[in-house]
This record gives sequence, structure tokens and C-alpha cells, in this order.
Amino acid sequence: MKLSLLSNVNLDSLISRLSKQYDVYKTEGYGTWIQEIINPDSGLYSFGPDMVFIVLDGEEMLRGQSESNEIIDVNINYIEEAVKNNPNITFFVSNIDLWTAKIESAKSGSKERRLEFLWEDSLFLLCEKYKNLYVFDIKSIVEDKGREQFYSKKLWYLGGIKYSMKAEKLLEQYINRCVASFKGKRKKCLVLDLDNTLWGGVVGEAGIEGIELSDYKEGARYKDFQRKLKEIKDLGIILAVVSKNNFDDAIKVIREHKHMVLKEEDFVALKINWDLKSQNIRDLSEELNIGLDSMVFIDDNPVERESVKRELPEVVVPDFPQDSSELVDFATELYNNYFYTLDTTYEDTVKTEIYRQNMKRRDAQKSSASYEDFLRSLETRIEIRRINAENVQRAAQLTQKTNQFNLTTKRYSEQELLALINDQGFEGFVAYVSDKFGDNGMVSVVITRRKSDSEVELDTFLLSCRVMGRFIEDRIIGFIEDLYKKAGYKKFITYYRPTEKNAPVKDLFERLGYTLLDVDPEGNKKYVLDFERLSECSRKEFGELIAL
Amino acid sequence: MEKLIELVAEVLNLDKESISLETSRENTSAWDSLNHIRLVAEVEERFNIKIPFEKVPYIKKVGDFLEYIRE
Repeated sequence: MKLSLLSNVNLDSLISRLSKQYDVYKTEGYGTWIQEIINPDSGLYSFGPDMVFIVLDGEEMLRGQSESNEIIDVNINYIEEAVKNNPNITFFVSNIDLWTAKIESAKSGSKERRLEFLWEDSLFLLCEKYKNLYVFDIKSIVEDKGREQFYSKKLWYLGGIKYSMKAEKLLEQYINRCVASFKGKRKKCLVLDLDNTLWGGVVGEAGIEGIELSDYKEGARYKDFQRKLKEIKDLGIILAVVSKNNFDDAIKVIREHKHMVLKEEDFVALKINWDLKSQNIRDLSEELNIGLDSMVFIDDNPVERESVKRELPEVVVPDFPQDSSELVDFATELYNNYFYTLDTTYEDTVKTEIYRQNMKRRDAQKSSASYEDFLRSLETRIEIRRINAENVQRAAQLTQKTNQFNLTTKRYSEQELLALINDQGFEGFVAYVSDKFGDNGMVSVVITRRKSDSEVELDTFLLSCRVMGRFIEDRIIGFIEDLYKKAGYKKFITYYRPTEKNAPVKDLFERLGYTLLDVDPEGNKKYVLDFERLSECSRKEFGELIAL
Repeated sequence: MEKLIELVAEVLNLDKESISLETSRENTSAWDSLNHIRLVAEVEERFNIKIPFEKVPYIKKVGDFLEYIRE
């Protein structure tokens, strides 16, 4: 990961910190950030960063300027130009903090506030316009910590460094979160205990009237915690309950307690029983087809946490706060550490519903006579479209997150994908799947590259784990084969590159009747399909296909 | 003292084992002027002490910090 940190003040110390983890661009001196981002031949662009952080000090930006509004406009224009001309780079630009309020009469108000807002507002408008720009919210860190803690006068006078070491550490953590989220590394599922976690007390003993959950005082600790968890859920994280309880006692609270913020339908699954929690979590992982390493488990009981840690080392098990008045901060910390999200897609907002439908499909499968009967009964509908500006965000997200059914596991950012499909030779497709239980949204990405007039090769082929096992891949690959066969191509070259997780598709192309051309010692496989032989290959056809 | 050594190692990005109270600006190339300031600031913040502005240039080796930490 190559990143760059630009500023109008000295950030060498922060850069030196970040260099331990990333390849960081070092500018000559500071204060040249405008030249760096405007000049296409600058050191910055020849370095070729994936992400550029521009951390601006408002005081320095406006120092000695009489026309502050104008300066803000000018700087915003520079930023817009850089962001527009470099769609492959993701920019994070800070908001500003103006702390030396000028001494003025009460009537004239605080000009600094208005300037801070002008900058924030202009920047936000740019963010709405450009996908590759985000606000770097340094102002919130200043406000949370207080200027006393955030700035250091001594460092400023000694070395022109504005921020304290504490502040630097916070900025470093913030940058780490942005990078992790950019890479699509967030966890998927938050598994929650009930007693003394979502409410105070033990429902089996105190009863529904006796537990602590309310708008004010003691019970508000848990209600506020639930509100935060709901906010996390709304960003596309799925919630599940794993609790040792009598099912009837606990479900009564979830369904009937008037202060439950989280409702039954907010949870993808409720494992309320007396089995081992580790077993319940393992079952959950299988039923949802989500890796254990994508799960975070929250429980107030240290014995339960220890047991899950021991049985399932892949699951993240954070310590529960000793002081339950800190639950809201704990939720924020969980969000920052495991679920930090730069942007959400439509699929994120309906994710819980999608997983709940999947659970219903599993039940339908259990009651079907045969698996094929079950697949036929689903009334699957597969719609294939080309990748375009509207759907590229979700397509990029899929390339970042899909591990199991992913033949080449190439990760693309939105910008890279857009650049790729605008390149002569590459073509990108996505597939949407729905069935009688509901809409799964976009679940597949296919990218091809024309090698010559007669050969086309597969760059990427992935399918979300949510719809694996339904032979949807047969319909999609069948469509791609037909498309190129009709266009006059003779051969289709495909690949399998092994990773830790994609063993499920190790022999996909063997099953589809491709000829194995080559396997290297690492297990990389190369295949070919002669389009003339296509009619000899069998493709399972479940569901209706609507193409382009 | 253990904490101080760890801090110095972290800021200078060196092995803990290579740092002692005698480690000095003179014999350590990583201890440049930027890292000097960072060391002062880190020591102040983590030990919750003040090293007066005027005394900063007189800190020559790791041991010199102890005077302020012990006070």
C-alpha cells in the first residue's frame, strides 16, 4: 500500500511513524502540497500513491490573509482539480480547526466558526461529486481530545510541529482505519450475548419486568448501547444473538420489551439455547457461509469469552468494558476497530434481510425431496449487465471481499475497475440474482480480456458465497462463452490461482469440461475451452437468464 | 526505567537491547534533530512531566531524562 501525507505544516514525525507500516511518500519540506497535487509531473505522482491524505492546518492556511473566503475557494479549486484529474487515487482532505479566535466585539460573532464551516461545506460538496474524495475528519478528533491535548506549543516552537505525540497517535490510528476500510478489511458479523450485554440483569431470574433497559438512568446504558449497535447494523454489518437462556424468556424480551431498540428482524439469527457458545458460533458461520475470521463476539462473561477464544481462535473477542457506563464508547470503539466504513452500497443497507432470506432457503431445502427439486422451486432469476459507473462501487466491493468462489482473487478498487473497462480489450460484467424468497442483489463479477482476434481470457470470475451451490456459475459462464463464440472467438483461456480460501472452486473448470493446459508447482492452473467443443460440455440450467 | 528504554527504542525505531542509559545523540545516528524533539515530547506525555524549553538542548543521552522523571 503506497500512501502519501501532504500538509501545510511539518508532519515529518507522523510520516516517520507511518513509514513503519506503509510505503510513504516523503516530500521535500512542507507547504508544497498545492504544487504536489496540481503538477502532473510532481514527485507525488511519479511515486504513484494509492491514497493521498491532505492534512491542513487552518491557522496556517489563513495566516495573514485578509480575504479568507477567497483563499478557501482557491484551495478548494486546487483540490477539485487534483481529484478530478487523478481518478485512480483516493484522496482524504481534512477539515480545519481555527483556534486563535480574534479578539472582537460580541456583535461581530466568531468569524472562525463561519470559515471552518465554509471549508467543511465546500469540501463536502466535492465529496458528493467525486467518488475518490473523502473528508478526513480531524476536527472531530480535536473536539474529542480538546485542543489542550491535541496541540503542543513546545513542539511548535522547537520544531514547527503542531500536533502532540498523543494527537499523532490518534491520527495514525485514523489513517489505519481508512486504509483497512479502503482495502475492504472490515468484519462482517457481530455476535451478541443478551443478559448484561443488550440489557442489564438476567432475564431468567429477574423476568421481563426486572431487567434494566430504559430511556433514563441505569437502563439507558443498555438502550444507548443498542442504538449504537443499530447504527453499525445499518452500515451493512449483520447482527446475531448467541445466548445461554431459555428461548421463551429471551425471545419475549426481544419481541415485547418496549425499550428494545434492536428488534427480532434486526438479527440474522437467534441462537438462544444451552449449547456451547463456540458450537453455536460455528453453526452460525456455516449457516451464513461467513468465515469465522469475519466474526466479532461480544459477551460480558469472561469465562464465555475465554472459551470462545480457545475453541475458535479466528473469532475476534474484544474485552468487555468493566464499567458499563462506557458501553456507548465501547460500541464506537468496535466500529472503529472492526467495522469502519468509508462508504455504503445499497446491498449493505439490506444485508440482514438478504441473510434472513438465506436462512429461509435453507429451511426450504430441508423440506424438498431432492436438491434439484429445491433449486427448481426457487424460481431463480439471473440478470447480467455490464459494469458501469452506477454499479462499479458494489462490483469493486465484491472483488475486495469475495474469498471462496474467486478463481483469480484479483482485488480492484472502483477507480481501477473503471480504468480497466475503459481500456480496449477488457470487458466487465456483473450478475444480479433474485428468487422467490427475495433479492440477493449483485453477486457476481466477471472480467475478460481479449488476447487476440481468436482468443479471449478470463481475468476475474467470482460469485458471492451467499448464492454458492446453486449452479448460478453455470448460467453466467455459459452466457460469457456464448457471447464470445457468437463474436467469432475460437478459444477461451481460464485460470485458477489457489489462495488459502478458494479451494471450493479448485476443480470448477474440470467440472465445466475445460481442458487443463498447465499446472505449476504452486498449484496455478491454466485451462482452455475450444468454442467448437462447447456443445459437448454440460451446463446446469436452473433459473431464468436475462442478459444485458 | 524499563519504560523509558522502550520509549526510546520505539521512537528511534531500534532494538530495545541496543538502548541503555548511556545511549547518546552523539553515538546514535537515528537520534537526529526531529527524533530529539519527538523523544522530548513522548517522555513529557507518557511520564506526565515537563522538560523546560530551555533545557531541551542539554539532553544528550537517555540517562539525562531520568532527572526529570524522578523529580
